[in-house]
Amino acid sequence: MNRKLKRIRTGVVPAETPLPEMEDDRLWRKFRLEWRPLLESLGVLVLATGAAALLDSLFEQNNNVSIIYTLAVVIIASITPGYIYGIIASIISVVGVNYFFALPKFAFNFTQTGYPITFASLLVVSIIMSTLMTRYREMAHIAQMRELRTKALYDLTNEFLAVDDAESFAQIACEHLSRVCDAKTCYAPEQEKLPEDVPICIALPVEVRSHRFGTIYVPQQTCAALANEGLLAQMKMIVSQLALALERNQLIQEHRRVQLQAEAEKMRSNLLRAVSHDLRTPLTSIQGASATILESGDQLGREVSGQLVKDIHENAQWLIRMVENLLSVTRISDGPAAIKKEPEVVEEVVAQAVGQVRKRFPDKAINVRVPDEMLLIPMDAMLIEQVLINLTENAFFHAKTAEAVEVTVRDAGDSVAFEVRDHGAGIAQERMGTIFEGIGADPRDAGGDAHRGMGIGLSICRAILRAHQGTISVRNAEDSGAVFEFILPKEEAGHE
Amino acid sequence: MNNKTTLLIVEDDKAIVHFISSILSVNEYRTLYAGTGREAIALIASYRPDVVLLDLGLPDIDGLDVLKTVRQWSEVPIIVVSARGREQEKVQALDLGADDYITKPFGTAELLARIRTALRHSARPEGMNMPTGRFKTGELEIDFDRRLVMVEGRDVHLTQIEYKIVTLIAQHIGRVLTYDYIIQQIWGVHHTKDNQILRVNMANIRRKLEKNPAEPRYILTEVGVGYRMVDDGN
Repeated sequence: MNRKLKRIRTGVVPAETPLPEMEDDRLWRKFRLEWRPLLESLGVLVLATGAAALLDSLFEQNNNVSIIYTLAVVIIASITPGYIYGIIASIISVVGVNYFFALPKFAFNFTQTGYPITFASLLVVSIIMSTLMTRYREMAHIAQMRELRTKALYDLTNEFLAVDDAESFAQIACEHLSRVCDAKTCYAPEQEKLPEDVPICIALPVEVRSHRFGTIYVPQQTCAALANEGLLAQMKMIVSQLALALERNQLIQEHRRVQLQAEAEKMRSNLLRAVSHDLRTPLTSIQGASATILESGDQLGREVSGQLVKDIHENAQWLIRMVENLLSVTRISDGPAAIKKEPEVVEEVVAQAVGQVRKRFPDKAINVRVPDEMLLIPMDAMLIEQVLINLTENAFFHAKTAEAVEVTVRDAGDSVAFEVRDHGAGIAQERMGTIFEGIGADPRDAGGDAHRGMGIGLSICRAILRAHQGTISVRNAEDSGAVFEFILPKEEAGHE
Repeated sequence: MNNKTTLLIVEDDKAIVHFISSILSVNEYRTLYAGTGREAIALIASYRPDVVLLDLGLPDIDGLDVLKTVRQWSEVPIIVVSARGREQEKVQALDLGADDYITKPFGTAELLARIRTALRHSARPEGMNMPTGRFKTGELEIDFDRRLVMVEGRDVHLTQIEYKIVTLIAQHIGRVLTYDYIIQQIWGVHHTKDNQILRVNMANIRRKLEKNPAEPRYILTEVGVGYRMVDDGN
């Protein structure tokens, strides 16, 4: 399921803006003076004074002067942060209007009528503008931060979808955290402790409902930055996402384990049924035939006793095959983790399997084809050999034709496909669905002794392939015969 | 009667001993039998058999220990009998000085072929196996003096390393050489976990010598153990 999700990537596209600086919204900062906005404000005031002087010299009426200063205050309040510049500008404006433009010019006269009203209105305009602008800027900043956080969260969840082991989850979360706080964070699972000498600022517990998976350690150099509550909240959010991902992962692993266990259990019980039911038949035959020879070998005549011995031989061979399959089951019954995979040369394993089958059936024909380049893939050679033997021998028994069984290996990019095909009648459509289920051969199909246990053989094949993270399938060829194909991945899967 | 070749069967299952000794007597071998490891060691010391067939699962001591003990004072060819799926045990036995192994359950033809190979091998001790003259098995020919390898009469161009590997395996025709042994002989490296280089070389050799690399006629792979050159029995 995860593999599919990997391809469907969603995401929000944020406005192309750089990360805004973290603004501290404590009150005193709103009244702090800085050089740049101060100079800007002065510039605007100087321009306003110039413009007012120009108007004043052109027109007799100087009503416009206070309008121009009001405009200047509005501009200053909107381009500078905080309130202080607007307030300063309004004071300067009032004083400026009084000094430069109110009669008497170039002198202060604070007793002029209407003066307090001009002053008060300029002050109020400046404060209202500053408040509005500051609030607007804060809102914009918050919105932008939110957008960035959402984007970060999307990225995080997207990256989580692409992996499925605890270590990768922790690694991804740490990468995100490190980017956010600009220092290397690390994750330690619950049982592990960090080395003593690493200076740590805070430890963030990774937990879901009191179940603790581990701890994220944030190094000391972040301490100063952590005074910012937004940063800490963002980090906590990533940590809780990690906790959720880890929980999900744990549930999936658990589910997978239970599934495998159930399958192993099912196979074991099928096998037990086959053993109790099918082993008895050849053993009875062996016992009967040998007893007959023992008790009345002299009277039987050469031909009859020869036939009896031949029966014993065939039944014993069948028992050996059964036991070898049983041996395979013991190898995989503890789940995929239990099998030991080594890189093996494909043609060597195929050659050995074909050699085994040839030894048992010297008069049957097999054609083998392998790719020109050498393929080295991880597998338990004995188990894959068992799959090839089972499939080839099944083909011999069921095809009922003299035509050769074809064993073909193909390089399929990131996997290798093995195909065993016969030229017989093919497989009845109604059996296709259950052929790997370990159900014994159809009674109508059971022509000879050698048919017994075919279902078990195929269900063991499937179990072996599952243990290798491979697949097995069957289809009927267009012209004639059945095609069994199994696929082994070239690379070992990351998990398990 | 004493010039018959003598075989010691070390095996605790009476039925298996019975069938092996029957088939061996039919083929004109004299057989001895030991049911335990200690008995086997005593019999090898006193009767000096020509070949020992040693089952590794014995009731008293580990078959590998019997092998170790015997190898301290005897060079008698020992064929180990082991089960399928116990490749590690086979490699260990070969490294401890076993000449060959046969996997249970085995057929009579296979058993007789292994015994013949072991006997031939003991008649030609390794020191005398000088790589001179010519060597031929099936359609594969090696001219040691001219350093030439031919299949069906045509020259096969092998690299230096490939030639060394082929001649090494040819000198021990019929026997399994473990990956470790070959790597040690060719590259001089001891006990390496990584036998990939040998496998790659072997895959190249296979493509040069064999018609179909999936059905080799000259050098067989015993997966998990090593390589064996097929003895055509002559």
